[in-house]
Amino acid sequence: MEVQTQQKNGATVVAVTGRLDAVTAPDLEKTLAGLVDQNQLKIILNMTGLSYISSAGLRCVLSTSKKLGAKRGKLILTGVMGMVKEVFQMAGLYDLLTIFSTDEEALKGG
Amino acid sequence: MTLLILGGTVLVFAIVVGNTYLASREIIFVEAEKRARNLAASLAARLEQEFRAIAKVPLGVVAVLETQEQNMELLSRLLYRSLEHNREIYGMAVGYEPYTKGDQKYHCLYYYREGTGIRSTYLGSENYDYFQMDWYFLPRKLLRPIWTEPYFDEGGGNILMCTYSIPFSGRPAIPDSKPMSGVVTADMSLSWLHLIMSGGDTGLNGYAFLISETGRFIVHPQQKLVMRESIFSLAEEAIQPQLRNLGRKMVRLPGGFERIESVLSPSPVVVAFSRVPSPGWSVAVVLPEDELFSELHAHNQQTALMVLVGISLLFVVILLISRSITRPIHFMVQATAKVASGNLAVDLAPIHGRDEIGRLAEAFTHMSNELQQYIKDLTTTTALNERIHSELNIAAQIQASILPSTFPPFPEHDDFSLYAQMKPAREIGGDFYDFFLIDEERLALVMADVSGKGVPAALFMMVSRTIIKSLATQGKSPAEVLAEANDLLCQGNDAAMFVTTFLAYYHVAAGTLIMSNAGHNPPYRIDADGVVHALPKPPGTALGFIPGLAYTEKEESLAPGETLVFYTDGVTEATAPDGQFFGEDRLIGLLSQYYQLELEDTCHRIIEVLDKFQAGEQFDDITLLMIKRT
Repeated sequence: MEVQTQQKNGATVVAVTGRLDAVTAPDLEKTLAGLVDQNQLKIILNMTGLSYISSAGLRCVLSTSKKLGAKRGKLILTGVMGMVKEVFQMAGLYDLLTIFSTDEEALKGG
Repeated sequence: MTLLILGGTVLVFAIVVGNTYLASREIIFVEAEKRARNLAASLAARLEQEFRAIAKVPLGVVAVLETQEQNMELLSRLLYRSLEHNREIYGMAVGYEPYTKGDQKYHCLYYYREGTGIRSTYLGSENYDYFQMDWYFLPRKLLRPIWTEPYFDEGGGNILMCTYSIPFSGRPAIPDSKPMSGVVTADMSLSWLHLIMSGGDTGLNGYAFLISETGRFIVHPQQKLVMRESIFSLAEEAIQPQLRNLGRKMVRLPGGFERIESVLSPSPVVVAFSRVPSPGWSVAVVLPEDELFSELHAHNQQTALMVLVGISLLFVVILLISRSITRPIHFMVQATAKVASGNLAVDLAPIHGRDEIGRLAEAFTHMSNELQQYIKDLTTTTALNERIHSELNIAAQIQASILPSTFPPFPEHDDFSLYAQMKPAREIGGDFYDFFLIDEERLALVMADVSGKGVPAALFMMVSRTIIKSLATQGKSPAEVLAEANDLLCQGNDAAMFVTTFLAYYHVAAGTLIMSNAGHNPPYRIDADGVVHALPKPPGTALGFIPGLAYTEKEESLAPGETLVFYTDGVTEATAPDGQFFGEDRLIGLLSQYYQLELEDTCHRIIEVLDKFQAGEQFDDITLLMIKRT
């Protein structure tokens, strides 16, 4: 799994690629927690390159979302598609999270 | 190592000393030769000088005799005065041919020294037939002045002497007179020769000797050789060809230099010789080699001693140094061996010092201490790990015993059969199933998947299970149960854990189901012919995410012979080594294949296949629950 962070228009875009499972989730968790601690309150998580997400990955996303919410920040997901989308839908989380198709839309809208 | 250094040093010293010695020897030889030659030459020159000086005196007398009238008185006076003024001459004689003075055969006037005075006498008698003597005979024969061989003049001077004899012819009265009228002689005592010869500096044990034309010793420190032996006879006696050669050279050559071994003296000597032309004699200067080199040898000995002392000191120093190196190293080697055998408590305190060895010892001690610490930590950690492992095993046992695992669970109910199995990815898992009778008629079925796995998931799983069971047994509907459970699970959930749950109430007699879903995969229904149908998924968010959510319910029914299969995504998302997912299709395929078996066997088969598919690696907990309406 690879994580790439970028600053864009006042938001932090975190692009994650590969597998997000119990082995790799802690790394992403650390990166995201770091951003939250630095008060990067608008985080866009780009999941275009993600091939698989497990419940551990879901948990990481949810945890970040809750943390940001507590600080009045926002977690926006983009590029949620394929199997990853199915998992979110299955867990009933798809409708509860802020999801956009592309980063641009997220930057504009969120 | 010490020996090596020592050996090298000794070699260097040896070369230097040896070279110096040899070079010095060379120089000494050269100098010795020069010195000896010079000495021999100077001695020879002095002798020659004397001989020449002495020779002049009789020459004067001859001149008078040949020019003046024969006058014995004049002659006497002449001889007397000559002797008086020439201290070197022992005696002078004028000897006439036979019957020169009338009928007197012998007529030889002889003046000589005695004590402090000068005496005269007439030589010649039956006992002293001077015509036969060399000093008369030879000049008469050769008609030229000669120096005689040394001889002992018995009846004459009565001493050891040699004589210079000049033939003269008196005033010729008659034209056909004889060529020689007589001889004039001057005697030189050999003892006086001795004086000259001993005047040279021949060192402590060196000496000079003088041989005559025939090689006879005229002067020699060994008195017994004088006049009795010649250099040749000596050579004969001692069978020393070297000596004979020397003799030959001496009588022939004007000068030379030889090295003779152990003949003239026990040890080798160098000999320089120089000819005394007048008498045809030869002076030899003999210098013992060892005396020449005595100084050198002494010096050499001193050097050798210094070298020896130096080397000994060096040896001691080297020994100390190498010991100061090898001892600590030896020590450390021992310590290393001790450490290797497991005893880490090594004490290198005896090694101290600021040099490299000291630092090495320090580093070693440091390393040893670090190692000790590391081993301690490792032991602790391992113990800890083992404890955790054993605790996990116990926890697994607890978990396994909590999930209902007695099959068949309700033997009195023959209207359905049920089987469930949870295979955790680690010792304990986050998936769970549950089934329990809510009342006589209804059976609650729970299939749940906690986010993650391992201990955290297991803890959350225990909590979830308890909450759900407790709520369900209160008579609440599935949707109500999930909603309340969700609210409860959101509390104190800092870790943002969530659990997907599928809750169904099965009416045993009627075969109907009321289902509610919180983010979980819906079950499959296998009909009596083995066709697998996927049930629609009632929407709903996983429990524990956000509170205040509502859930919906759906109804379903099971015909006799139909099977409901609940599973968690550990089945469908099982990954092969090449990254392939097991997928729904494969599961459906397996279900159709094995639906006719006993539920337990079907379950086991599926798990077997999954195991093979994952090639022994299990990423997620695998849970299956099957219920068949009979």
